[in-house]
Amino acid sequence: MVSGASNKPLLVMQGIRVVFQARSGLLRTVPVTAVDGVSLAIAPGETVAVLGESGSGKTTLGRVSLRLLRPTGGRVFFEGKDITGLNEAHLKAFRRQAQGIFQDPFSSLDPHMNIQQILAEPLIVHGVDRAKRPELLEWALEQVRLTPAGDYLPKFPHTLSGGQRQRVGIARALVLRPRYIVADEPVSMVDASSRAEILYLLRELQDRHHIAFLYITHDIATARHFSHRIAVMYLGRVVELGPSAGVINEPLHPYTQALIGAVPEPDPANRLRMRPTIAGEPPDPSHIPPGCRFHPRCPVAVAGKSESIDPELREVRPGHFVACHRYV
Amino acid sequence: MSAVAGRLKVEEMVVQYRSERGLVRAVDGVSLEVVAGQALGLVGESGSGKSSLALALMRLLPANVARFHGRLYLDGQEVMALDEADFRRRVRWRQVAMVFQGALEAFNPVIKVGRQVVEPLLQNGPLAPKEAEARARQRLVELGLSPDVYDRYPHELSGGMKQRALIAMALIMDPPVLILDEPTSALDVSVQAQIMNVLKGLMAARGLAVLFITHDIALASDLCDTLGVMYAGELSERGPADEVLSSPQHPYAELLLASIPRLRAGTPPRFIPGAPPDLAHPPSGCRFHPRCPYAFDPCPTRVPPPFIVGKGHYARCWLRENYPSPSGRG
Repeated sequence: MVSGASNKPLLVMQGIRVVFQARSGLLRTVPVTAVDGVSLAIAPGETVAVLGESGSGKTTLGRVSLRLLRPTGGRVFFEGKDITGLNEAHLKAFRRQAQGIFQDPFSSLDPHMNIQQILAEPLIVHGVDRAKRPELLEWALEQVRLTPAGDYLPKFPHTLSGGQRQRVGIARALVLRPRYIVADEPVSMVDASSRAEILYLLRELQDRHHIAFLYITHDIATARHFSHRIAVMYLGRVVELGPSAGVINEPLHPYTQALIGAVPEPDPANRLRMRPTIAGEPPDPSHIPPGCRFHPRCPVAVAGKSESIDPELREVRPGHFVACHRYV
Repeated sequence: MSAVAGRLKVEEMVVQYRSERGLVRAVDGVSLEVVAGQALGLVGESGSGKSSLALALMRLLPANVARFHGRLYLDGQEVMALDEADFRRRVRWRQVAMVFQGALEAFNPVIKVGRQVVEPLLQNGPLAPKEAEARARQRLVELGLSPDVYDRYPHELSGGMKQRALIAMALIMDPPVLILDEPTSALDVSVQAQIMNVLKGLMAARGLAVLFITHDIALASDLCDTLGVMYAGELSERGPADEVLSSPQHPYAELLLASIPRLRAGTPPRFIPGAPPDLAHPPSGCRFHPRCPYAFDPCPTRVPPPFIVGKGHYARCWLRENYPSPSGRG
């Protein structure tokens, strides 16, 4: 069962919609709907994987949940409080509670900063007493098993392996003791042999500190092993949501089924057969098809319905939701 | 040649780079062979030397190369001895071509796709421009694209279409050997599956010999007849794909396979503690020994030779020194 599922949700997103103005040609802009009516609640201590391909809106949704982005429509609640419209000054308390871990933890940081400076930055921003900082830095590095901390603090990120760098990224997210962390593709730059190690570490930190995670990924297999629930996104919509084992073992949406079919596993039999594929190219969020947005690529589209009626997400098994006309 | 020669045969290839930390031994005595219509998957993590090996075969290594030697045979003919002018005229693109890692972003945005696809042909070929264009359109079709992709600009193509155009470009001179370096790692899984199917079709139709370089052993299993597992500049294990996948003989190969999260089996993934070594200062003995859970007496001091563990299958591991019935399976 999902840990903490009976608790009151920590973070709630209701009807989130994000429209960007994207440049098209020299002078024109076109509206791009990155997220289109997504509702999702995350319980304390729970991991929800947001699974999607490029253009699905998964990263935009994560940024909205951190209020790094103000949604065009819909509401974001944290601990029951509406934070949708808060300005930066009023978001400060929330920012301490909600952190992000990203694909390349240092791409946005000055390469001349050492680990000590990198970890201390959030403490400085949030006005943590200078005298308390060394203890917190040591604590954060211990949590991610970079010990003794004194060996790592003076180092520069480029001298570390991919796995070690991501541990520093996790320590940085952890140092303010958050309750909610968005992990956006946290292991896609980490070597295959170290990925599971990082994901086990996140799970261990979750158990120890009761942190809720939004795990944003394109990797179905890690979503299966490291999340309680999976939300599958397609063109700005959640098309399927349910317990991870249920979504993987009994996928309901034709898109989820096709995605799972396309994943290779190290099996000698693969070579002898063609892989099942999804017809067509990944769709363009500036040209969302009418009706069910998956219908142009769907092998089982319902004639007379799929091309005109946009299916709603409905619960067809306990806790397992799907947006598809076949389940009405 | 007495035996059937591989389309591509590499013997004792060595590539070393100069760096502030000293000589970096990126490729350290790698030998392999790929025959027509088959694919060899070169699997390894970042820094294992797999891309350096590929660039060495194309003779496109960066300027800080300190040492580069070994033997490279294409259709039985040694080509390492050729000077650069001969290599460019007779070998590169014509006998062996490559799709580079990250090349999706390397298209020139202001030149039409077709003009870029046809480029190697105009540089090196005897064809008139009209014939060259016709051939390029035909290649695009072979890759499952519309022939009018020739007249479009790169930004008008999706990632999957660009990757197909890049493969068409590599095949424009009809090379018998194709090297692919992480050809799908920038693509979504649904598009990746399409590209893999296209490659399967091309290999069957053209009898291409493919060297497929990837960090993703599952992806390699989709295409490859033979797998070579690279670690720290060496091939730690090489053998038929089905054997390496079902009973890996080198602990690194075993643990790398166990590190892959499985979608359909319930077993949780494992991981290899530690990080790959600095190739300016590789570990003594077996290069994997500091991370190996099975390391024993000889491992820290003695370099393991390739022990035969099956037909066309070896592992550089002291555990396999007295492999049961070495001749029985071969």
